[in-house]
Amino acid sequence: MRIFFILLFVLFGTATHTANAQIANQGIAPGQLLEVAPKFPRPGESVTVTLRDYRSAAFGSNVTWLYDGQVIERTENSRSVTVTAGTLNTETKIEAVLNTPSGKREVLSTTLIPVYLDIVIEAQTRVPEFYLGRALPGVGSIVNATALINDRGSQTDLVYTWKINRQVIEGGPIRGRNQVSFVVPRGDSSILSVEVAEPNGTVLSQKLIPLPSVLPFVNFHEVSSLFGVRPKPITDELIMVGNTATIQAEPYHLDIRVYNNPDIAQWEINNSLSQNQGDNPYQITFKPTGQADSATLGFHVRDTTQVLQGARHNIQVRF
Amino acid sequence: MKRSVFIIIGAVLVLVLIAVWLYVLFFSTSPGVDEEQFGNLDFEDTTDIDYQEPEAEPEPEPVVDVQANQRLQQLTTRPVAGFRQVRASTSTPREVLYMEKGTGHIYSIDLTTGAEERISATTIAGAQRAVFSDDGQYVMIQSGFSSQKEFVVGEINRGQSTLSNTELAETITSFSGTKDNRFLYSIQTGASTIGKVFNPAEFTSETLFTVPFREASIEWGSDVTDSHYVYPKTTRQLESFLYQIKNGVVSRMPVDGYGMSALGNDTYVFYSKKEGVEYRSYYLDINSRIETNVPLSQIPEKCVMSEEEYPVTVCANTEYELPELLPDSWYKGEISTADNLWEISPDGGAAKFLISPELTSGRKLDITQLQITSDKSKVYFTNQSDQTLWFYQRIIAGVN
Repeated sequence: MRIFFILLFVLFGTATHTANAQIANQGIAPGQLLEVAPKFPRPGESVTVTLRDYRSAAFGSNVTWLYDGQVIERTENSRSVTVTAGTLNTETKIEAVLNTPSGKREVLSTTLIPVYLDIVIEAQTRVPEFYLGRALPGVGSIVNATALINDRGSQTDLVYTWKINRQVIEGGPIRGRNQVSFVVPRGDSSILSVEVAEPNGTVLSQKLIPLPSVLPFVNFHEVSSLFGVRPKPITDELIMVGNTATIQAEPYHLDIRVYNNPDIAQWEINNSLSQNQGDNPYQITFKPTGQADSATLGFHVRDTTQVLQGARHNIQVRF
Repeated sequence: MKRSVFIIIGAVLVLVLIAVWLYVLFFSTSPGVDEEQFGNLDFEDTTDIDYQEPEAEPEPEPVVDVQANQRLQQLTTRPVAGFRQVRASTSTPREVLYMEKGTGHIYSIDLTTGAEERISATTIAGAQRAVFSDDGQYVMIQSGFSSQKEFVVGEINRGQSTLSNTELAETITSFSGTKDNRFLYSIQTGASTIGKVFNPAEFTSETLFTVPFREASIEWGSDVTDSHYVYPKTTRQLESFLYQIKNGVVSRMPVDGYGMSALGNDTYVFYSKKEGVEYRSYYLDINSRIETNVPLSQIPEKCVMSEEEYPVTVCANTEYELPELLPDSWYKGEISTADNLWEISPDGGAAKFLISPELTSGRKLDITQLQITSDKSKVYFTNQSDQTLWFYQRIIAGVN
């Protein structure tokens, strides 16, 4: 499924499109068009402009390519040219001048308007405080997506069409909605897309991204009353130095609703439920008992009603 | 001989012996006897009128050996919540201030004499992070954990060895100090991150910028008017985008990618990102837009860049076993490091090896929170494993 989505991404993300919204065609006949790939280039990106002229009258024409009015060297009579898009907030005019055998001169042109369209994904899942990275989406969790186009301070005068796996979010294009929230569908990955247009329908840009969906997991960390949670996790085994050890279970990418109100949040010592819990269900003060010199410490957190997410982790404690 | 003669001789001998014994007892000054041969039983109330009670010597101040001509030195054994090299005025010596993690006590280390002094004994329970103002007069502190987190700004009263604290009402997500003794900080709203500047002398704050997402990493500049960089928090599985903020204007930089994180100044940006299964680092000249491939796989959070037009960039780097998992694996604390210090050339094309702390000190360090001094002679940092403070002497007078 992931390969299928990647193929979809490659297909739609890099496919050539007939330039329309960004092409200022000047008196050209149908069938004479310049194709731009990628359709919505980013600043400084390489862009291929291809001449599509299938009329018999154009057969044998001499073709000259111009970049902002300057002849592009070594492209005489080429069917396509590769140019570099300009910087942000600049326009670049690409022209193909056709001199037909009958002596007629025709000019085809397109304008490149480089654009950045960023989609910021913020999953409403939980990561530990010391973790510098971003929380990731999981099945059933809520994701906030924000579209940012260029350096525009106000994004509210544009029209946004959001889709998740080709399902339109919020029922259709919405003016000013550069932020949407949705529930992550089932599967390892989804495709999120957005199209941004002027209110008059001119499409400024479009983008689609693969949206990962990960399983939550738990790491165990030692806790100090003075210094807090030790960032380095306990890998497989904890060797106790003192008589007690305070251990914290740190779930990663667990839905915030589940983290705050879990149906199950229980510690197990040698597969028996531990009663040695305080106010914080994610923390336990471990004290060795009996004659054994080791024990298995486990933690299980799960939601059984709404999101159905959960995670479990075990370590060996030696004392 | 008569019996009486024997008695007289015997009596005289006894008297002579008694006289000798008395002489030895009261007048002997035999040089062969050393009084120290006898055990001191610590009897009190001596009758010697010349006897003087020995004065207790004052406890010596702890001294950090900053004079040694060593490139790498450990400054503290205490865990450190924050630190800064300061100089209150040109007439006062350079010193390093640091806050002890957990207690919030503040210490100064005189960089000339090495003397360490506690300048604030005010306890801030659970102090986790601290940032000092450039003149060393104020400190912004994060204490407590999770929902119990608190933020205060303290004024250091050296005379009384106390800290006058004022609690901040806002829940701060990141903060930093400026050259003009103010604090830059950010807060989260429902759908955005707001950057602000706080003046501790006047106790006023002012909004600098707003970005429309909450999960933001911010690389603060050294001053309010410097470039600040903001990007969505980094992960290998999602794309991040770099925004420069200068004088309140947010500009999209030509830097983005999966696993992207960055730092920079007004002229250069250093960043790393995932490329396929690789993790690669780049140096971007902002004016020319020329990008150079840096010959290290470098986590930007383990680097520091000076503010000049041709900056000095010093990074802590390890030959990671699984670079394809960076930087997420380092964020999780799942990888062990034995960092070496490297200096990246101003054009980003070369990296110069500076020192191996493992070979020099015998210790494996996970170097973070790097700070470079304004004269670029020293690089301070903490070891993530035990939070101790160290420095690397980049320039030694007469050696470089």
